[in-house]
Amino acid sequence: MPKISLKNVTKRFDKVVALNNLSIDIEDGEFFVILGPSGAGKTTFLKVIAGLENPESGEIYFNGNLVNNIVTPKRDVALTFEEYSLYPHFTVFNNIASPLKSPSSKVKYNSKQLKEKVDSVAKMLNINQLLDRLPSELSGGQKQRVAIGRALIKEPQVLLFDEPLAHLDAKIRNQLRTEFHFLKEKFRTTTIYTSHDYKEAISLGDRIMFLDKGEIQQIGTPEEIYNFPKNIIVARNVGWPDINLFDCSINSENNQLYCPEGDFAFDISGSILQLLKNYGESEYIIGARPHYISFSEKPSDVYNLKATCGITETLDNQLIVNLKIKDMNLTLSVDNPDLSLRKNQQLWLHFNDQSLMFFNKKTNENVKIRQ
Amino acid sequence: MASVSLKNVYKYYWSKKEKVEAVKNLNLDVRDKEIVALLGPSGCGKTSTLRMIAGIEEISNGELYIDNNLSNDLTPAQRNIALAFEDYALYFHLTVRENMELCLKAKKLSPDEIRKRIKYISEMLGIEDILDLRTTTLSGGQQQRVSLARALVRDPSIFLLDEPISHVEVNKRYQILAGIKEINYEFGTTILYVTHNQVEAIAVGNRIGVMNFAELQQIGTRDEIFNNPVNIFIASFVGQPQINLMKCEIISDKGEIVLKAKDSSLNFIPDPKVSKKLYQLNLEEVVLGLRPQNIYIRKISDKQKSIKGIIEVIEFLGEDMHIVLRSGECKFSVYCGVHMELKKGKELELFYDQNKLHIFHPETEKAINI
Repeated sequence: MPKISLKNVTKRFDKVVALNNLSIDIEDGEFFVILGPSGAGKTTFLKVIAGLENPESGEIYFNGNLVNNIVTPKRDVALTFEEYSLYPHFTVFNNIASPLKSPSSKVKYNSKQLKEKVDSVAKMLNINQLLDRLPSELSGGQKQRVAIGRALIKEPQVLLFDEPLAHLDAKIRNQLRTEFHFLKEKFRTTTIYTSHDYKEAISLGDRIMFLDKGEIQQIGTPEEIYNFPKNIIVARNVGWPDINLFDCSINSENNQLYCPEGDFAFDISGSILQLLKNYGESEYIIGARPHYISFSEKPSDVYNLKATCGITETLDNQLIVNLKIKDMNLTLSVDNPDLSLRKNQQLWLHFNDQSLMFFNKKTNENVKIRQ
Repeated sequence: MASVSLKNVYKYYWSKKEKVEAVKNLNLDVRDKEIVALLGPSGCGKTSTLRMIAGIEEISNGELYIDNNLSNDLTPAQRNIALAFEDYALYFHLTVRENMELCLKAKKLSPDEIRKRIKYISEMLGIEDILDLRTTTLSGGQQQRVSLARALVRDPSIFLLDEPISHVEVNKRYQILAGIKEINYEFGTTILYVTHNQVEAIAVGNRIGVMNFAELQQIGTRDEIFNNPVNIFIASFVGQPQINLMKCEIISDKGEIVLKAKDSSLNFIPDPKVSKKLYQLNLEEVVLGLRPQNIYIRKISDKQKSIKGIIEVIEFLGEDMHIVLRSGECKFSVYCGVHMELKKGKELELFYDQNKLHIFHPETEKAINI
């Protein structure tokens, strides 16, 4: 039996549809990530599960029991908020201990038990040396740790994390993301976690639900979301730098694809041509991830597509190359950050056709969804 | 033609009758047509430096040369500099276009020229759709882009940009950085770019100066900063994921020096030249740094040495993977391409190049160079 089930849940705020007819099962012990841009309905989804918002229609089940009419304290969930929401006048210790002291707590603890519980959670989160401080004396990363501690200490049936890493600096964010893997192991509680950062989502999630404007675009494993995005919306929001998207049409006489924007054509293998022919359209949108396009500084049989190098940017581990084929802009990324390319230099490209994605021009659906 | 040169520059502030040094003995050259990124944590003195160059903060001691002319006493207006700050300082009663036009109108440029420049910059920064909106209606990220646009639309000899994109949505940042680099390329404008974000600094700068505790710690290209950090601070501040730092004992194994990470079975074998130096220094322990990017899952050259660890965490990140391994009490991480065959709990042999081992003195925290 799934831990949490939503059946045809719809939530509106005035005329805005925040959740549109959502149905999903979340399994016991699963780490489930909701990925989507701001305004997708991620927070509303959590609030509906926590009972802080009531759905307009549809049912919510916990362990098979309908909970629509059960109030938040009785649902046994813990929710952390994006902005930490700590009690400013409580020390770290009292913030973490607060759920256990609350009247709705399942068990009453004496002060010694309380201390033991707080200590063990604080240790796990590396904040055991901060227990006497006030929230105002903490950094953003530390505040978020306290908020997470306050959720964990309840040992709830379901943990709900709302963008816990969104407000942190890149460095602390990466560090905490990795730490979540350890926490996940220790707790093994059913967790629903929202994020707008695809790396966070595919790194942490057992499964990921991509939400956009209140609608489910795709549910899948990290690998499915990254390598087999169901449509252009998912493809565009997962992966960095952004996926290159451009039109193409099939020229079946010579097994080539023609791209009008850059006025060039390239060979594709028979299997892909067959796939596209079977699908039945004559025009598609190609999706090419920047690091799946390779290039050479000299032309050859393989590298036969002429392009002009634009501005390059070095990031930590990669070089981002902006280039042009006639008037069409393309972005490439290579793993060699010290490679030096000049602006306006000629480069010769090769598309690895196996890694290309093809989208239906009318519906934006991926043609090559894995069966 | 514009260069900036700071010679032995100090900045003091007085706080409760105590002297606080915000900038200490700074020597910095920004060459003509160059982009220098000034990187450091908050409070390191980078903004004070920029404000002194702009002329909105007095130089306590030392000399500032703009184009080789002593410029300590020039007014900001005489310096032909355009500034963009982290706080937007926009005119809230004006539209985006009017904000951008102000300086150009003051310079009495022709309407055609003004239109042309605004078009070019607004397209580059992705604000062409909001030109006729009042700035109060914009999001923080958009306001910051307008603030940057207002600086970039001018044609000064130097741009001073202080955290110009810190509030801009992450996915738009790199497009803007590419735009800044394009302006530098097309018009040869010299740029000093201040940021606390190392990814931005590396992406935009021809050279990167890293400041900490009011002092310039190191200045160089990405390659120099990344591969030859002068101290532990630089090594750990620059690079993501963070460099692996391990306290190592120096032990001698059959005449060969081995660096043994504490509480683990990780043994690192340094380059013979480094070993010789370590003999001479007669140290008992050192801090060893090895970047996650410089540890490989497949052996790619015969000269590479190996270490082993148990896989604790595997993070699939789409383009790459981040793996945390453990040996004894010592944890270290590896950043590599996607290897779906790896499994948690398994032992893994990994490879590194000896010349990528960074060795630091345990007390001074300075790099031990040959």
